[in-house]
Amino acid sequence: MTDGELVERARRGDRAAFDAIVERYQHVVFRTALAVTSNREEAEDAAQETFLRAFGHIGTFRGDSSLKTWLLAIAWREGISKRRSLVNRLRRMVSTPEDEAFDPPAAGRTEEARVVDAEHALTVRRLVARLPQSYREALMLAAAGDYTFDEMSAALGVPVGTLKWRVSEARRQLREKLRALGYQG
Amino acid sequence: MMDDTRLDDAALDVLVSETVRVDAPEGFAIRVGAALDSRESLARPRAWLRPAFAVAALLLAALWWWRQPVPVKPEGLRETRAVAPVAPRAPYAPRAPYAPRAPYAPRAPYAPPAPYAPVYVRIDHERALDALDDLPAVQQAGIDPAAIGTRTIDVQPADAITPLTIDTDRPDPGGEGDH
Repeated sequence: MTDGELVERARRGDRAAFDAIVERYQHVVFRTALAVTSNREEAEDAAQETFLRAFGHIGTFRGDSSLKTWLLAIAWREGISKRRSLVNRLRRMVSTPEDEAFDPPAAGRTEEARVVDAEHALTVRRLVARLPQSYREALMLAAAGDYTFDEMSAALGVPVGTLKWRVSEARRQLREKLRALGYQG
Repeated sequence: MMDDTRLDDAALDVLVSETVRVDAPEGFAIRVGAALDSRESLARPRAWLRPAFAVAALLLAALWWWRQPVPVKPEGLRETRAVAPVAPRAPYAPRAPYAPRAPYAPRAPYAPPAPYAPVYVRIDHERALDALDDLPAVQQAGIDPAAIGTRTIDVQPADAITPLTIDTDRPDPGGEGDH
């Protein structure tokens, strides 16, 4: 079933259709929220709020953009709202989100390789978390591969050229920091 | 994932992508569905509130409109004035002719004003008293000393008073004379 059909059925009050939308886009929305908040708990809350808000306003979705872009815009705003909330600011003061546990894919890999992967991933996560905010957000959205630059530009209201430049700059800074840690480019 | 520390663009992209490409936690869709159910169940009992508010607002608006005085448009007033026939004006009453003025009566001669009565009575405190002979004499009744129990006492004649003399040439014994 296409997105348009699901939206049409959800507009008529079909909960099953909206559940299908949630099932289809839960990871995309979660990664978007994570790109903004850099915190799993806040991202989960923001993603859930995104779907609740989308369900309440599904009647206003005109179909000018894709459903995914519409959800991206909502998730982005919810993520920013979570990031700016006083409680989450205080929580970030006492915790380091880049140190969260990371579970690398285990299929077909030895235990030693998983440990190395986890170490690399933790290093990259820490470095990404220390990038300037606008660079980090652009890089995480682009690296997740869920959206094209056109979709990101439409949802966030940022020109495509600006987004591409931010991603490029984020990669350059990240590469420099990794080289400083001994990674060879 | 990288197997060594070599880092080209492709490897960096893969590394970053795998790092940030985190899926939603397990059961996230179920959690969202439960949140939706909860919100719907909360919203359903309150569903009647919105139409109730609308009806109440309409009633209040109708009451307010009913209590307002009926506005009269100026155009309506003008039309009313134009349609109503103009009442014929009563003819002016003829003005009465001026009556001849009576001649002035001769003025009475000027009478001198009566003298003013003195407001204050002047009292001459320096005037001579009336003669004592003219005063009525009051005869005092005689008093008998025996009747009031009096007795007679003898009073010795006092010594002759010698005049006091002060010797101003005597020296001052205590210096008190300086005062």
